[in-house]
Amino acid sequence: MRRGALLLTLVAYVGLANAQQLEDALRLFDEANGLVESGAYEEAITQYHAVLETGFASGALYHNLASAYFRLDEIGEAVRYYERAHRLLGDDPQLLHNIQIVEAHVQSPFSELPTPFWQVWWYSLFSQYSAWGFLIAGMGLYLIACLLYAHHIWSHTRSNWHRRARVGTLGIGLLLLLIAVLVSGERSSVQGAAILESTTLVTETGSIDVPEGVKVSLIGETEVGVEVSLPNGVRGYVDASVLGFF
Amino acid sequence: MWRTILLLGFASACVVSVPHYSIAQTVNGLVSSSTIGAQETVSYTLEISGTNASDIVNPSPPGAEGLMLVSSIASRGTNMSIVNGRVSRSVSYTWHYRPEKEGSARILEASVTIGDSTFHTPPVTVTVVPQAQRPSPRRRSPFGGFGLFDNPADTSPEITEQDIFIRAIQSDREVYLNEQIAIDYKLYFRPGTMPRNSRQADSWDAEGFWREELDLSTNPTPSLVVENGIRYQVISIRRIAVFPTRAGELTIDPLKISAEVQSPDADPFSSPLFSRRYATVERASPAINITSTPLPPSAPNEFKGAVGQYSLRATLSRNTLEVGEALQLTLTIEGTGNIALIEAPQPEIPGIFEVYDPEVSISKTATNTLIHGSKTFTWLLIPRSNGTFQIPPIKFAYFDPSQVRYIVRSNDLDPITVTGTAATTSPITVTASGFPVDDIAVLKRDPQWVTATHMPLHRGTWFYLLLLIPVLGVGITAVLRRRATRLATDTAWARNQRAHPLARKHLKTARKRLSEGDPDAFYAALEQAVLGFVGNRLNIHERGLTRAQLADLLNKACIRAERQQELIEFLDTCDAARFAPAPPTTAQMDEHYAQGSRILSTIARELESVIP
Repeated sequence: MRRGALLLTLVAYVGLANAQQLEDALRLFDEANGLVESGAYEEAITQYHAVLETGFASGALYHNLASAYFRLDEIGEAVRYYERAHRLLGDDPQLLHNIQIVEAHVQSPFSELPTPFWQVWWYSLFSQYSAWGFLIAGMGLYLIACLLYAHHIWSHTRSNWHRRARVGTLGIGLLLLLIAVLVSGERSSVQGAAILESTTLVTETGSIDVPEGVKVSLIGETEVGVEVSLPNGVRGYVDASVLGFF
Repeated sequence: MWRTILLLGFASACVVSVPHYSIAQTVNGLVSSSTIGAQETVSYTLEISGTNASDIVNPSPPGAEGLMLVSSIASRGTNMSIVNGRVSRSVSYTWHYRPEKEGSARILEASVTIGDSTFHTPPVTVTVVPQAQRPSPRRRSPFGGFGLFDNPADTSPEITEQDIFIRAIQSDREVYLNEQIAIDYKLYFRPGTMPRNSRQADSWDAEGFWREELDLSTNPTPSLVVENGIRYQVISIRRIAVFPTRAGELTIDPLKISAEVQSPDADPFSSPLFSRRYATVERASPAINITSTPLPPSAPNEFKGAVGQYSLRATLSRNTLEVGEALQLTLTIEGTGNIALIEAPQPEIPGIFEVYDPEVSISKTATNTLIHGSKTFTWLLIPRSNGTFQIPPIKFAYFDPSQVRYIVRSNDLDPITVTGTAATTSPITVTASGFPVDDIAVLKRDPQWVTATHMPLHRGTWFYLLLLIPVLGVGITAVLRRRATRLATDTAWARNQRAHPLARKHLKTARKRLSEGDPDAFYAALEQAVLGFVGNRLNIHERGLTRAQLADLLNKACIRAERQQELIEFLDTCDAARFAPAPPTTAQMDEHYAQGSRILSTIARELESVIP
């Protein structure tokens, strides 16, 4: 009894603390938006980062932060945070418009390799639905399947439809749960990086100048530097300090 | 008054009429022709101008190689001319030479002493050709002098390469990449040829060069020069500056012109009605070979290919302004070199400024032998935020061929103070979706908060608990179902399973009856708890059992004798208490309740070892 009360108190405390943090995040977010409107972009950026320090983030926050960086002509940072926003907002029209504008400012000399079809499908899948969506749908079907199995065990139902329903709901439910896990892993892992300042990519055959704002894929980290892949597939090493991970 | 006017008029007339004597002394060695026939003679004239004849010590005839002096006595002549009010006087000494053989011959250096100074003339080369190759001397018509019936073609001697030619004078032959070279194409023509209507006769190209035309006088005055003993007039016909755009051996095409010229030896009175006859000739300069050397390595980062000598000047139109107002950053690069191709240095303007593409203006001076000028870049900057901003020093690097090194010019700028705040501006033009054209839509206001540090599902314990709970539910269902089935089918197991709960239930009832003060019901419940427990555990019908039958069953269940005795005595006590005339006291009932509970637990322990 005493233990239960303690647990309830803890849960209530955590809930209240989270509510306070969320309130702080919202207040700072509104203040930062006001600073953007008044043209104080540097102060706005500081404020947006203060929001992130509260432990909360949002697609709109990343979007506005990227916009402030864009206004300061920091194209690399703008690309970085628009990409983060893209992961949370998906194909939001305003975000896509802004990404298009920013990419027009990136003077990338590199052509892009075609994206494999499965990557396109996968990306459209997880950009449309969140991991939570898959989790709720999958968990719901999983629960229904378990209830059907429990009913079958209790009442010894022998119906074929009942069996199909059990197997179907369990299979689809587990599949959706697997997708939820994958989407969740995808969102929490680093997808790539934007070049924050013009740099030189050291390859095995020489060096290539990479302008600010170019998006690169991460291969791995070595003693030489971070191994990255350019949009055209050329691999090489750059210093980690010029990479803005997203 | 009239006397004064007359005096002034006389003085003016004197000023106009008194000639100016030239004081520049020049000595030229001139030949009558640089090509002569083997049977002809060549005259060599030592022409001395700008001095009095009395100051000249009579010169000796110059020596010769391949030529023989006809007479060592010079024929002396004087000449005085007034051109534009300027008097020039000259004294000439002429000797004649006869060729000794065909081929190249030379008249050696001549010396003349004027006052205390001695002047020398350069040697002159004369080519002696077979007499057959020389044109026959002109023969005057018996009607010569009137010229009305002369054929002009018969009277015009051939115009040779020595009469008119083009020279290309270049400032340098070996240069660095993109270094400036001035080329001056000069037309040499002998006095009397009087070229006219000259024009470029063929295409001209300078492949591998960037070229800029230098200015020429539209009405040039020919200058007089002596070349190999021949007097020429010279004018510049084209002047260009070229900049090699690649390294290696490069060639500039010959410049070819055609012009109408008159023979320098033509008799001006020989043509009909004294009209001069011109012949069209074509002349070409020699091709120019230039070696272009690559620039040295280790160029500074700011270097963008400028070669020459430059200075840098950067200015801001203002240092204090409001958000949204404009200021200009002007950068001027001035110097000698390929001004047109100078690239703008990239100033590191803080991102808070909206920067427009620079306006570029070029000012060139091409009248000298080299291109000189300035290139100005003007950026328009509009701050979008307040604060104090510093544009880092602007640097411009170039290669100076004269010093053979790279030079970096730097110019510091004062900080810019921006005050005020920006007004929100609505876009003038929007896309179909309502977003500004060529600009971002800045703000989104509907945050859907998530945790900033996103933990993937597979790392959360709760996720596995959610997966496990339904499975546990199914497992519990299976267990319950199995238990229910056994309870329904296995009576002994079912009674055994129910023994403890029923005993506890009856004990609870007994306690309740005890508190109600109902001894009869209390002892009935207490007896039922103990006897029912034994019956359920041994799967027997306990009701109606005699004490002997009970003892027998307990014996079979291996219950120790003293326990059997204790149980039977307790049952007897309960019966006695139920049917006694005087009800037992509460203390007795409490004691019996405790005794019943103890007996239940001891018998349960002993039965546990026999019937699990």
